[in-house]
Amino acid sequence: MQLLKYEVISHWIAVSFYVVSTVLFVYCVAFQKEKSLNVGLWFALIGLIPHSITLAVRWYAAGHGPYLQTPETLSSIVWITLVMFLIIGYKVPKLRVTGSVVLPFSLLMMAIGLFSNPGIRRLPATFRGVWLIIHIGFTKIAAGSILIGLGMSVFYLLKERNGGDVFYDRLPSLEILDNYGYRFAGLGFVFWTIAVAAGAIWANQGWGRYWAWDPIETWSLITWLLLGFYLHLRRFYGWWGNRAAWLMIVCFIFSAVTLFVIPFVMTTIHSEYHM
Amino acid sequence: MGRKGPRFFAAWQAESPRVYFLVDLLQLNHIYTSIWFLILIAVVALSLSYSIYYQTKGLIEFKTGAPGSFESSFSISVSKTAPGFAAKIRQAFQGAGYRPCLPGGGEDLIFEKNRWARWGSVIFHLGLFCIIIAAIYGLAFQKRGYVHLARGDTFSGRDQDLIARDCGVLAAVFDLGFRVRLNDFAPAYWETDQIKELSSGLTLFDKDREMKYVLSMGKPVRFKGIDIYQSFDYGYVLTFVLESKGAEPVVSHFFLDAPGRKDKPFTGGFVGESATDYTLDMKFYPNLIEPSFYVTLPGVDLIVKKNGKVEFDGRVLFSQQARVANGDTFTFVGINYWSALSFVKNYGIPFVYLGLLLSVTGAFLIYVFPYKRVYLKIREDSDSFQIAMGGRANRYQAIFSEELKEIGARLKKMLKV
Repeated sequence: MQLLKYEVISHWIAVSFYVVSTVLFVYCVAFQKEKSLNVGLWFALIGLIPHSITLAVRWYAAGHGPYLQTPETLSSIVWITLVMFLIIGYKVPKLRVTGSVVLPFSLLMMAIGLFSNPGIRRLPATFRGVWLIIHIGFTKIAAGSILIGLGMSVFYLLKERNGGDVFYDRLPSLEILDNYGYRFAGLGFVFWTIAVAAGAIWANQGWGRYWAWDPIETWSLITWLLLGFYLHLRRFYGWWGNRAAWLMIVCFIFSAVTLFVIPFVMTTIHSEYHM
Repeated sequence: MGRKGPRFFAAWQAESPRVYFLVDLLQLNHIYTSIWFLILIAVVALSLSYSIYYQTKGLIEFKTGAPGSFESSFSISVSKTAPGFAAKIRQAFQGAGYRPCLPGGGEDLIFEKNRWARWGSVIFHLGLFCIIIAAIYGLAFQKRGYVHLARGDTFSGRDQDLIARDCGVLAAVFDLGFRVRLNDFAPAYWETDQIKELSSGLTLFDKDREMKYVLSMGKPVRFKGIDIYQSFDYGYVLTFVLESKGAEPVVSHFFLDAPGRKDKPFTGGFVGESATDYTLDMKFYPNLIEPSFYVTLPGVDLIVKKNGKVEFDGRVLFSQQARVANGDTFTFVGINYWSALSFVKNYGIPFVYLGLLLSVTGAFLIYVFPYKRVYLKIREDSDSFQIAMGGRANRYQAIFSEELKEIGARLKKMLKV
């Protein structure tokens, strides 16, 4: 119990840093103050330290990874997304502004997690094995990729609408934003494919069948097909720009429904890990 | 076996025979092993095979030739006295991971990156094709069966003794070819009442051989090509003996399902044909003193009905009797565990794994290693060489253009232009 107190404290410290980071990113976009971008980035980076402590303490106390209860699931997805975003922000400075989409969504997920049941849940009997770890890990990475792709698409639409504005003119060109949105959609597709494949293998080990059209399995297939549809439209039908950006937003909505809505509204095999 | 067991469909058929006839005719009661679903999957396979053929043909016929003209992203002028500029060009591109495509000479140089990754799409679709073929084969021939076994009981291994089965379109009956006895069953729980582990001790009888295995969640047993899985379904079997005047005692076993929490009772009823005119509803408490999953002081809240009329409603402790109206008695004589086992005979599994590996590899190649080509046209003037550079990527053209500019800047620096 003492350990979990430290978890709560470090969790709130992380949230505080993310709140400040979010405010700075939004301030940057709203008032076109680019300098606040780097400060926001630093706050997000520093916030990762107590966030990492939170996840580590929780992992130790629960005896399993952060993938059973809603708070820890959301928290770990946010952690992976922010790590990916910070790496991209470091490698491609022009894309840092997409944090004004990534950070608010991350903060929203953390907030939802904070107000959910924080109790520790013991590992169900079938939640073992390396394929489960691969399945969960790549699902989170795929979610992070799609979220960052969403950021690119949103900024494409904003820049297209606000052409001529000094701030938006300093952003990467529309073509670059479009290409990075495409790239992250592609990466999201790759990681989602691995997640679905690993999930099928784990399901066979646990329940004796690779695919049973469980609601979450079906929805993850729908999301995968939609991402594939997006990528085919881009490759073979010249879809890019405005249309592609809107379709990327639809892909994100479907992925969010798959991960965060279906387990709560329908009885699925994954409901075991959502309380 | 899916959410709807044989009892559900039997009840539906009794209630609405015409509707059920239509459902059965269209195979909607077992969609995923129906003929039309198999045909649908076959159509997807045909579509994939055409796509693979079309893409492979295009790749084989592909020739990396320079286009007649291309949009130049930059051009530089190099003095004829500048030593070894061709080698420096090669160095600049090879430093960025490009490989020369033509052996040089002539007017044009072509550099490529990730040439092999062009096959990514073919590999990906081939992987999907393998999975679909394995699915077709599996859907046509797979066999799945399900039994409830009380501890100490033996399953004959015959198709007719399965509680539920799901066989492929072209599969016949599902006879295991060996018998299975449940020697022991041990559920374990976390302090939060969740299942920690379910494990069954089995003996498999095959001709003259007897082999013992321990089966647990996530660790199936494989024997003679059949996988045996520990199911989530389990509970207690309660045995009652009905004694009536002038009649032989009738022994009945009641399979009760485990609850999700230890303060809830085990509930359920009879599996199979009822041996008496009575129906019994029961809620079993393994320990009447405090909530527990384990038997300590067992008792059952029992309702006995005959022809819809309640004959008994009360609590019966172990070894006690429940008396009903006409002097019949039900004696609570036995408590045992039962466990459900699933038997699966799958086909085409190696193809599934091959398909997964190929599709993941292909997707990776497509979106992480896009194919890129750079063309350089070199024109000779009186005292200099004019180098024009342009390029094409099969994806992310704008990002590639930025990369080309960086290479160009590096090249200019190397050539000291």
